[in-house]
Amino acid sequence: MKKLFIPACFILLCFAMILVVLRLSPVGDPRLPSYSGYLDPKTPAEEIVQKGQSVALYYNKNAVSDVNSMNVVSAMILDYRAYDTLYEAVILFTAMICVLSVLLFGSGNGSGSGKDWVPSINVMDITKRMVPFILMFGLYIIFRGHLSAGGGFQGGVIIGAGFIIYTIVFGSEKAGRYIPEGILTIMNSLGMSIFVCFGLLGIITGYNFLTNKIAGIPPMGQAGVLLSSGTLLWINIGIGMNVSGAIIRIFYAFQKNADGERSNV
Amino acid sequence: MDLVLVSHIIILVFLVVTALAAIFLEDLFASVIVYSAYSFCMCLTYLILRSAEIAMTEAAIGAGLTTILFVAALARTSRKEEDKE
Repeated sequence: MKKLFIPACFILLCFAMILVVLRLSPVGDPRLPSYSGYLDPKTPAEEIVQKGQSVALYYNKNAVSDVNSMNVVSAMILDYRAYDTLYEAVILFTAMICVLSVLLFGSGNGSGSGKDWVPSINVMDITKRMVPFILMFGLYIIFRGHLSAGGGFQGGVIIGAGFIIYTIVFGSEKAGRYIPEGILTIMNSLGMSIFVCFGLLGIITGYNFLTNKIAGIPPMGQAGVLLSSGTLLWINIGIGMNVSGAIIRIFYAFQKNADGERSNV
Repeated sequence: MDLVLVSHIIILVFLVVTALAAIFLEDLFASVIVYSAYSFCMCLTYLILRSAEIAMTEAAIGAGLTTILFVAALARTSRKEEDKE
């Protein structure tokens, strides 16, 4: 029965997915209901783009001039909907605190070296050569979040993954020499603070929380250059610090907890 | 049938294969690697649907970070699944 069940599942799932894909409307069609808003879906595409008043159309038309950011998605999540992103970052911050309070409550004395095996020379060599490039790529994605695809979350995760690879291969003791745990916690809190402070700058200048272009927050250059789009650049940096700090700190805590358990046994 | 649709269908079939394989493989390490292949297929699907941001997030978190965390967790437990049946 079980031998028959798996192929049946497989064929059924494949069939369903292909059926759904063949019935999808074309990508980027302005007649999609989420795009055309209240307009009649039978109206031609050009007319919808001119007349439509849905949020998606507004963003597509005005994001570059409103925010000075070439990346419309970044403009949406970090300017128009920055309040949502603030609480996403808060979720990550809280998650780190919860994980740390659970993991460090018990035995986490961390007396072990963090490593009870020696990887092969190939792995060590490749890691040593690759990690700088991974970190550089993460920074590139963070700093160009308002110009091309990417942003604080993605870049922060890439930086965190780079350090985690280094920690797996060379042990937490050697990795802790480059980034101590205290700095990670400070990085995490500082990232959150940058986000909130640049939000409060909008209130100080007399507008609303997280106001960007009207409040004239520097650097508000031409759309398309690196130093542009005001809070987006700073928020990306803040989120990057927050995410990478949280991820590396959680991994250190895992590693330390396991070492403590091993040395207790 | 244009090229994008054909490649999309191939990627979707591979997505289902890797998803089922990740569940049913006995060797947990192989399962983790297949799961990262699943994430990569998902990333390609997002790219075909023209959402580069989500594709990048999926590549970084799904294929990169989750795999690393799973491998690190596997290093502390046994490689085979126990108590089958």
